[in-house]
Amino acid sequence: MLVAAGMAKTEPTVEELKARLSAANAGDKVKICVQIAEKQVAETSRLYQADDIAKGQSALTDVVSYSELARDYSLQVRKHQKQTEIAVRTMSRKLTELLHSLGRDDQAPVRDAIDRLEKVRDDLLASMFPKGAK
Amino acid sequence: MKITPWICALLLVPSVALAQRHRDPLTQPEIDQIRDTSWEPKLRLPLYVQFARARLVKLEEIRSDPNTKDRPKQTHDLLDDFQLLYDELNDNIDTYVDRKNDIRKALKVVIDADTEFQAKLRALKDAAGVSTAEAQQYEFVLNNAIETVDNSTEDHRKLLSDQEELAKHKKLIKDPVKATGVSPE
Repeated sequence: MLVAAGMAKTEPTVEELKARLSAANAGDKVKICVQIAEKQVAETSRLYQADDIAKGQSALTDVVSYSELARDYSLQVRKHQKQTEIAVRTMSRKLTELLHSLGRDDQAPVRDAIDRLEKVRDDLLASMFPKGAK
Repeated sequence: MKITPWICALLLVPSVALAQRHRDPLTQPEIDQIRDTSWEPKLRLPLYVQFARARLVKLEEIRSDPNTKDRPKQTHDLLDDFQLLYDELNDNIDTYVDRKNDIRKALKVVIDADTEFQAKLRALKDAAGVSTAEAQQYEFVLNNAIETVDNSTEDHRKLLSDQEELAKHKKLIKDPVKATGVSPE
C-alpha cells in the first residue's frame, strides 16, 4: 500500500502537471510540457481504441499544444532541444501507429497532429543545426 | 529586398526535410489491411513482414534499373520506410507479448524474415560500383536499419524461447479473438 502510494506520488496526473506549469521556470516548463504531451499520447491511444473519439481528439489537441509549447520554451531558453526532439519523434511514431489502426473517417485529425509534431521537430532540428544539416 | 541564394537555401531546407519525413510508410490499402487484423497477431505480424519485405524488393528493383531517377534519394526513402515498418512491427510484438498472446507462429515468420532482411541490407552495404557520394546519402539510414535488425533478431529469438516456456505452463492466450470478443473483419 505504501509502495503504491509512493509510486503514485512520482507519477503526477496531467492536471497536476498543468497546474505546476505556471510556477515553473522556463527550463522546467520544457520538461513538464513534454511530460504532459507524452501522457496525452497514451491517453489518446487508449480513448481511440475504446472508440471514444471525441475525448480522444481532446487529448490529441493537448499532445500538439504541449509539444508546441515545449518547443517554444526550449527555443526560448536554448536548452533541452535534443531531448525534446527525441520525445516528439517518439510521440509522432506512436500516433502513426495509432493512425494505422483507425478507419479512414477518423484518420484526418491524427494525420494533422502528426504533421504538426513533425513541424515541431523541424523547428528544433533547425535550431540545433542552423545550416540545415539533417 | 534582395534575397540571397543562401537565404533561399536556408528557407527551403526545413520544407524539404519536412516533406521527406512526412511520408506515411504504409499506403492506405495497407493501412486498411493492418487495421482489420488488429486483434489477430497471427495475421497482423506477417502483414508487417510482408510490407517491410516489399520495400526491400522495391529497393532492389530501383537499384538494378538503369533508368531509375534520383537513385540515392529513392534508396534513402525506401530504407526509411523499411525502418519505420520494422519499428512498428517490433512495437506490435511488444504489445502482444504484454497481453500474453500466443505469437509463436508469427514470431517464426518474423525470425525467418530477419535473416532475409539482414542479408538484403548487407548486400546493399557491400554493393560494388556505388560512388562514395551516392552511398553517403543513405549510409546513416542503412547502418541504422542493419543495427536495428541485428539487435531485433536476437530479441525475437529470445521472445520465442520465452513464449515456448510460457506455453509449457499454459500461460499464453491462444485465441485473442475469443479473449477480446473482437473478430477480424
